[in-house]
Amino acid sequence: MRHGRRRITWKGTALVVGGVVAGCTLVTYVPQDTGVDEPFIVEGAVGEVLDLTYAELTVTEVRVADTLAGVAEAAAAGGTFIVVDASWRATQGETTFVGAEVTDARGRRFWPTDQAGCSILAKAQPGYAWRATYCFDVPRDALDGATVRLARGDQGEEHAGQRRDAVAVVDLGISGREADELWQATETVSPQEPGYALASAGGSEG
Amino acid sequence: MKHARNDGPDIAFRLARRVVATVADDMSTMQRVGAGIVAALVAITPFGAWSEVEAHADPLAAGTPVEVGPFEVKVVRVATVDEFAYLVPKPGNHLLGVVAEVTNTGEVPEYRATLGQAIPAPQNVAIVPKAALDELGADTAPDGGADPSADPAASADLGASEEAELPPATILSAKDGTTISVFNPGVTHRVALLWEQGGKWSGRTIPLEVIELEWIEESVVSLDNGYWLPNEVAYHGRIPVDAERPGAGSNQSGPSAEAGQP
Repeated sequence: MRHGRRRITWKGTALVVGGVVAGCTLVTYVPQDTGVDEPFIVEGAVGEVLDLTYAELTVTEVRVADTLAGVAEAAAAGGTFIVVDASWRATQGETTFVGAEVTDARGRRFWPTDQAGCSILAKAQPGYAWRATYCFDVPRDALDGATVRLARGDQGEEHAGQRRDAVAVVDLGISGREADELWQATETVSPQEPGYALASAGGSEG
Repeated sequence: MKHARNDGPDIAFRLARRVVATVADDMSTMQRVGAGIVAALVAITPFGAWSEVEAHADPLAAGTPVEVGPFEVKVVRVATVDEFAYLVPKPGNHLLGVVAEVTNTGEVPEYRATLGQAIPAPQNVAIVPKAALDELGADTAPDGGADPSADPAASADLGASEEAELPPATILSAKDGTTISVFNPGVTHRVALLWEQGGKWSGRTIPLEVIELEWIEESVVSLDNGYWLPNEVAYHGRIPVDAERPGAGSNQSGPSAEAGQP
């Protein structure tokens, strides 16, 4: 006579399989609460001062160039360079602004280059404005409707470094007709070295 | 009788166990081990355990674009030069450069190192090995260049250097010699992949391989997710070598005066 032997029953089998199916269905179809991970987007335009709580940001100028002429080297674009001059003013403490990315109308993402003295990040103490020039090598069809996304958090790993943090998204103001003209122009831009921003360029000289 | 309605899925299990027990009871230990091995071999057969492993490398030729991971790569030419941009090999050596047009066909930027993984140093052409560069105190960053002040006596010898690990390419713009850190989507760059090569090498062709890059969404062996993993050789070919500067070509443009001259 056997005691304590467990039997596999239709009822038990159905219970286990049903539980697994229900769990998979919940995970697959019920929307996850991603809202808590989203950054706080602060939208603006060129010349506008944007308050990101940890800093004030001004995109002071946007240019397009096919050649960058730096102090030590000159670089030719594979496509064309979007040159973004920006001014950062840290408001809470010493801050490194790592995030810099251009997004086109199709959602493609473009990261800055450090060729010819262009900045890929900026670092500022509170109390003064610090300028940086970002250069993005983009194809022709990325110009129309492009925006630049600047933040203290890194844009790598699907913007993981920008979760639940303020992010500036600035419309570069390039229309379709302007995009054609800008693409055909042969401009050479000399990127400014990082440094203190003048009041006319979004800083207050201290 | 009270258990009769619950006998459904239990029957197959009990029957199989009884059969196995009956057979196994009459076996010695060695026979049981042997039977287990045979059962395991039979079990893995449907999963292709006995399929012949074949090399799938397709031919690679200059002028023909190939798709590798996020890139479209068209090898334009191969050349040897005395120096290029900031790269100056030690006396007696020269640089081997593969000029290619590279386009990121994806939606997000890709790092230079990803391209470097796809095009490793050609084998058996006297590329100065990585270990030798370390010993010489040269810049051994992933795309580091050669140290012009290195000891000439440590030059790579033909044959002997091939056993050591070969360095990844230094990747520069073929137009102007600047360093391209990021390949943005939709932008075509004309790049030079450069290696220091022993001065005694005088071949007319090099074997060039392009490695397949596999996208790893979630790694099962590490905490890293979302990266390109070098896999097997996808393309292989012999490319003729020109003894000219790597940036030269019909499409050359831009501030080429910045680049080093042979």
